[in-house]
Amino acid sequence: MSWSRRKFLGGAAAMIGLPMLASLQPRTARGADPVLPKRFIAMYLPCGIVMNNWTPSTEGAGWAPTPILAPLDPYRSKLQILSGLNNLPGRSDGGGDHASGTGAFLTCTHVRKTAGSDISNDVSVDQLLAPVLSGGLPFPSLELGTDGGSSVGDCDTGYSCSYARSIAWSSATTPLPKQTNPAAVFDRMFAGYDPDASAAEIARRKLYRTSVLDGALEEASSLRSRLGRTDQAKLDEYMASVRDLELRIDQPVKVCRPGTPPSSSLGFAARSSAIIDLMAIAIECDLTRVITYMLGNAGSSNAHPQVGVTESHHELSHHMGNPDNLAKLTQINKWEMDQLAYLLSKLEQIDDGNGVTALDNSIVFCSSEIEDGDAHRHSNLPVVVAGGAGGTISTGVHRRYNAQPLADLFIALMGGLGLDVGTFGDDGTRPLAGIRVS
Amino acid sequence: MWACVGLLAGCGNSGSSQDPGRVTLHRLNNVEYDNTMRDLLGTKLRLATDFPADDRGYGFDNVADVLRMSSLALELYETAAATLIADTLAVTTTSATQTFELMTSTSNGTAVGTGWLFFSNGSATLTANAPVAGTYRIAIRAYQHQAGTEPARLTIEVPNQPAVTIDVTALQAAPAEYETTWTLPAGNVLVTVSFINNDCCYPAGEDRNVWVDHLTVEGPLNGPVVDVDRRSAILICDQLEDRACQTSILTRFAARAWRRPPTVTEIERLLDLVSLAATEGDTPEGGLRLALQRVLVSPHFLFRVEIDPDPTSTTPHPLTDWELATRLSYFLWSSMPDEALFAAADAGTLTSDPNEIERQTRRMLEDPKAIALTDNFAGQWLFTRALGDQDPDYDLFPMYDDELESAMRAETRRYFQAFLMDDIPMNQFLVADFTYVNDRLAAHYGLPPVGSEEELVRVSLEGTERRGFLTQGSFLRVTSRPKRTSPVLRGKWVLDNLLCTPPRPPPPGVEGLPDAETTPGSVRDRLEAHRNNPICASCHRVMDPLGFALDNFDAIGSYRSSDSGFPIDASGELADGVAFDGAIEMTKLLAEDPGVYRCMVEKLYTYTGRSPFRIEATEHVDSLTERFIAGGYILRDLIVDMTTDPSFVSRRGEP
Repeated sequence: MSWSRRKFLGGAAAMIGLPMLASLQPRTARGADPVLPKRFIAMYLPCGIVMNNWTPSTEGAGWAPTPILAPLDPYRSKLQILSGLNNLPGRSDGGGDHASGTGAFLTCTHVRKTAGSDISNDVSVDQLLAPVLSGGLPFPSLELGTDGGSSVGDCDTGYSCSYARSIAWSSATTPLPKQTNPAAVFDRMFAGYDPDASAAEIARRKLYRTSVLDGALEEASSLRSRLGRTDQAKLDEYMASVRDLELRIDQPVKVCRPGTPPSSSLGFAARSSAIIDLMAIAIECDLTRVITYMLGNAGSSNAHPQVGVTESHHELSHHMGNPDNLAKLTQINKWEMDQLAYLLSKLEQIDDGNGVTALDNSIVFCSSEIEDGDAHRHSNLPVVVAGGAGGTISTGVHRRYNAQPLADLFIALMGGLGLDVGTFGDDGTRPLAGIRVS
Repeated sequence: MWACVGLLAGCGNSGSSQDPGRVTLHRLNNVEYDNTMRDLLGTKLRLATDFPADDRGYGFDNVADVLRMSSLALELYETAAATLIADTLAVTTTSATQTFELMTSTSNGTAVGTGWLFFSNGSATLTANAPVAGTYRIAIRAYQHQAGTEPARLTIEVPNQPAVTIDVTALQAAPAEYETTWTLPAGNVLVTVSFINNDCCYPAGEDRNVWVDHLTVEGPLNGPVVDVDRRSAILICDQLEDRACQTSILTRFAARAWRRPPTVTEIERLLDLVSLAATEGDTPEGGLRLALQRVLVSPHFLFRVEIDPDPTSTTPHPLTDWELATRLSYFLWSSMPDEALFAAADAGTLTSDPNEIERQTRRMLEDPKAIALTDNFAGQWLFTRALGDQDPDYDLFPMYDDELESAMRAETRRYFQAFLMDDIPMNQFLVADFTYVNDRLAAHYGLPPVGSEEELVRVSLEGTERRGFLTQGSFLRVTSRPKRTSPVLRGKWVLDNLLCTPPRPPPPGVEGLPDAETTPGSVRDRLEAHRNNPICASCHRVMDPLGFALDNFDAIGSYRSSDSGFPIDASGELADGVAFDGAIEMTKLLAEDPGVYRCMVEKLYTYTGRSPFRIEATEHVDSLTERFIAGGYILRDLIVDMTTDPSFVSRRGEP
């Protein structure tokens, strides 16, 4: 079968589905699985949102589409818009709100302000969920984005680049870096794919890789005993990484026929669509059930020529109420919702059986590190939660809260996905009311 | 004497520190990884492009403290090791065809059928790979929408070769395949396809467009090629089944990759993998490949390891010869030592002969690999690396294109190199009356043509408004917004990078500048608001005037005397009250400030991979600065002083 990737990436054609995916289904195992395949996907938007053009004027099921939320209209029954939630742990210590808010995006934890090595955050929602949802799959989680890092200067006013570039944290001191080139993501997703390999050949490859890594690990432990404590801490990162990879190699090889690899030289907007395509394929092939996606880094300076905006997003976000700036920001925000809608359309096309789609079994959380770009507020955040986590999370409405912690929302969502936690982050103490289907 | 900034301690106590400090276990950053593979394997593959972006600290991407390791990175290192060893030992390369889809941004074109329709001039780029140097065919299927008499015209370009122009005469009913032949070097090749003669609006409504389908790169066409040299540089003996041969291959490879002689036990562990492969029925070469990959995922390769005899003792001790060779090569080349430096280390002369480090440093600076210091140190210090991150607004600056941007980048590189290699005193860096331009940049600067389309030529700036680095296009562009200059960004850059006195961050809710649409006036008039707000004024009083002095240069570095119809006022005063008018006067005042030279030393010190905020660093930087100024501001001498300084050649443990 031949199909053109370009069809999915070019302009208005971006909404067309992926006909080839149906033929990719490696679903025998899943069909026999009595447990619903629940997924958690978080999508990060930089620089805040024009809230006047975002927030629906009414609550409940009949909320009227707004200029920014319009692209989500086809999925309104499968998502909820949440207003009035705060992530106050995201506030900065004297400047650097983009980095501090991004660090706290999925951790609801006040990060330590440092440009040095002594970073401190906490485990993020996705990483708490990864062992629960993705156990036995090739990837515990995938961390994806559109931008690697800035080429000069510092990241944000005395905050480590780790906070500005990573929303997924596997420990207080371990940010998970992301992949940003769709071609490289593809290569990684399908690195083990070899339909012609015999079982013996696959076993031998596994033995070789494990032997190579075992040797490296042995070497590292003998080196470790000769190092001072700071150097030991660096080497510990290495050793933990080797062990992670060994665990991954130990997972059974997934046979899922890849499509054509995407190009490695795509512009910003095309890169985003290509990554969303890959997210859908990862879900379709069941390579992982946990994905985080950053549509830009903290305080992104990306231009958005695909909607005619040539200025830096961050510069524009300090709009000072200027109508021209607000109009351009609204264009960017609406395009961001186009991207979310594109992701939702992909998940809707994945059949989980019994008339249920991947979207029905997922939670897609989408928000920004701040509310309004000019004010850098961490209150009244723009929040979309799509999907029902297998019917455990309510959908279809706009809810207005009164300054409840975002952390409480995560407690509720994690509960719906099968992970019950009593507290979360700095200020999460109970499941947010109204979220769980009772 | 420069201002004693006294970050932590040591003011008034310069040169007295006996504490060399310590450099944290340093992961090779992405540039260092690629350069090291280039020098270790002779490869042109630069696989680190797709590794996670390096952490930055204190303005640089090579500060050991903040460079992290991650599971993702480790996985990519493992994959890259296999790819690189296979690439290096490949016996033959047969012809293959790579197929690419072409796309531009949707402002230039759109998807039509199986192809892409350019409806205005634009370029699509793609990265092909030439497994070996040789002849390759690049073909493209295309048709045109005819308008006027001229056919639609495409160009195909690869770096460092003249573009090939294709007249697309085929029409939609029968697209044709257009073939071109190229001699390509081994490695990744950036191919650019451009539509160059868009035209429209002929009387009958014809609009000249061009449609392109897949582009194919086929080759090498000159038969299977054996890259004997690269293979035999690693497999240094032929009896691969022989344990002695295996041992010598692995010993030599590990010594180069780990930048020190391996121990007998380490080699035995590598040989175990060769035995394992034999047990599995694999060839000796298969086993060796495994062992070579293993060398490249080792912590001894991925990190620059320095060992303290007693990790808890704070008594300074000299580095070993190999550790020192490694510090030198990563500082000057962003790569591993070469044969000569290894030979010096093997002979023990780096630590025993007091002049050897200086000899090696000066030799290494003459080597072409020392361009790394310009690209990686100057590129980050002077922000040249940011050129191209953000395009200026096309409607306001239609003349700004890739060619101009490349010339700007080349100018600053060449200029920095002149100071480095010709020993021009660095107190001229901000005020020099010369620069390097080609015809394009000369025209942009309002200088007469220099008779060179590509290569830069040294020219005098006598009689112009330009002097020194701060009036170069690269700097003026990267410190501007897409639509306008930003005196604040320019002033802040000076404080951050020339004076090492960064301003405090602005309070929330007050960032940004009223737009011209709502607040008429020059940028300067609009910025005066800063002065009226006491919270803002404390920093902007210092920052803005530095930028105002440069406001005769617009967002792409062209000279101007007015902004949006308002005359430029480039006068102001420095923080200490000294008045100036214009860039030439302001940069002269800056060049007289000793703080600028301490800051240069601090930046270069940081670039050796060390945090400038360690207690001992202030003292090291102070004493290096003293000698830098006393010695006449010679950059090369500063580098030698730095590499021979006790703080560079020794280290200590930590309690």
